[in-house]
Amino acid sequence: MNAQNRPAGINATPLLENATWCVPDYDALLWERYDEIYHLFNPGSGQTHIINDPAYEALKELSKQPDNMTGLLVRLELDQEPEKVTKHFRRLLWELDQLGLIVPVTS
Amino acid sequence: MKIGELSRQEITARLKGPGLRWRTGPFTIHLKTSAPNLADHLRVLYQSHPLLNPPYDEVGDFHIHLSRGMGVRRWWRPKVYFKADAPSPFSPFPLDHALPLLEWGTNYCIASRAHQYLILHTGAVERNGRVLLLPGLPGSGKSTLTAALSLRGWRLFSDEFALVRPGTGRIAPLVRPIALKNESIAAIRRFDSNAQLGPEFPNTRKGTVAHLRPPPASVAADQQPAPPGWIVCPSFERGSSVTFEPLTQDQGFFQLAGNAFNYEVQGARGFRAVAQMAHHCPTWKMTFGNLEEAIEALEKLTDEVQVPMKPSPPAKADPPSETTPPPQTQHPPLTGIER
Repeated sequence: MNAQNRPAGINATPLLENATWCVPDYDALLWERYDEIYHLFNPGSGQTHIINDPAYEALKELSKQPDNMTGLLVRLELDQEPEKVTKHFRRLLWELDQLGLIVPVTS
Repeated sequence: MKIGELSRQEITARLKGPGLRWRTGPFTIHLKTSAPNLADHLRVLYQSHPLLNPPYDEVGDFHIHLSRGMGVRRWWRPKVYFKADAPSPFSPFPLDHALPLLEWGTNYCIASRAHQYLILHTGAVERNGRVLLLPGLPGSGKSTLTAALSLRGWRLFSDEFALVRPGTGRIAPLVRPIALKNESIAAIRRFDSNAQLGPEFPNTRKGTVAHLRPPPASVAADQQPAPPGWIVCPSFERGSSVTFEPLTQDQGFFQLAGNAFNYEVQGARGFRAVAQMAHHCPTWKMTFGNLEEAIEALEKLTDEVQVPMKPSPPAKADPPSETTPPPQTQHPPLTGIER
């Protein structure tokens, strides 16, 4: 289990705003659901994470099809009020990237 | 044949010669030493453990050598060194502390090598076919409570380890002497005047230590694993009455994973094993200040909260679908038990 250094806010960067993200080995992830949280074991890192619903939904969507943040918000039907959720999803993508659960797609 | 059936002279001859071999739970210990008095201690504390005689059919799991220091140290403040398969992982102990060094060294060998098991740092006792796990930090009363339960007829598995076999989720007994420290020694003597304790070793790194001989019936059954049934995280508070606070399944998960010696070594197997136990076993935090009251409460708890015999399926690679009902996170209330 890891303890991430989570900053209070994540600034917009070209990578976070524009990159297309994917889940590198979604089928290998192990999940346990406990009400509104999930325990997620990533065999790639050997680490166990506590994942909330938004993170679970984001990972599930990105596993179906890689996408950028804007596209992800559309697919999650969160694009109606983007100013309210963009900051949170910027941070979420940053954290998932730091944990190695998502990676930017390179062409 | 059992160790207690050998004379002191026979044990000493083996220890100084080819070594004494015995089985404890799933492990075979092979010990060589010339440390004085250890034969006496082994003869009492390991009295019921099965002795292995040559020709040996089994490979020894741990080859331990407790050797005396050389040179001037041999005569002035004599020391004893612990070596397991040659490496010496510890600083030496005073020569007359050979028994605590053997016990702690054996713990080290198991915790650092027996990765065929998920190794939980927890007391473990069995009742009604299920194992009660007592995870806790040093000082929580885990060993004292485990000792007291074993003296009241619960089958001792271990005061230190629960060896969980990934896949089946069953726990292998590892019945060895229980190391009691400081106030716990007098507490167990008061609790049961017939308890057979070895000598007290003052001024160890953990204070005064004495070892409780494990119940012979538990040693005799130490090849019989059992599934986990309940998880109780004890916390001793002087003068406190017994209280139980239920923990959710995810809290139970981290009680187990956080108290495992090799959770991360196990990888996905460890995750699955811990998740299976967290789903299957109701978990409480227990505060207690009196052994008799704690045992009465635990007997009531294990009578009232019946755990289904069929364990939950292990975690799957796929995330739960939307149609999957969330697992139960709160176990049934404990009627009649103060909470």
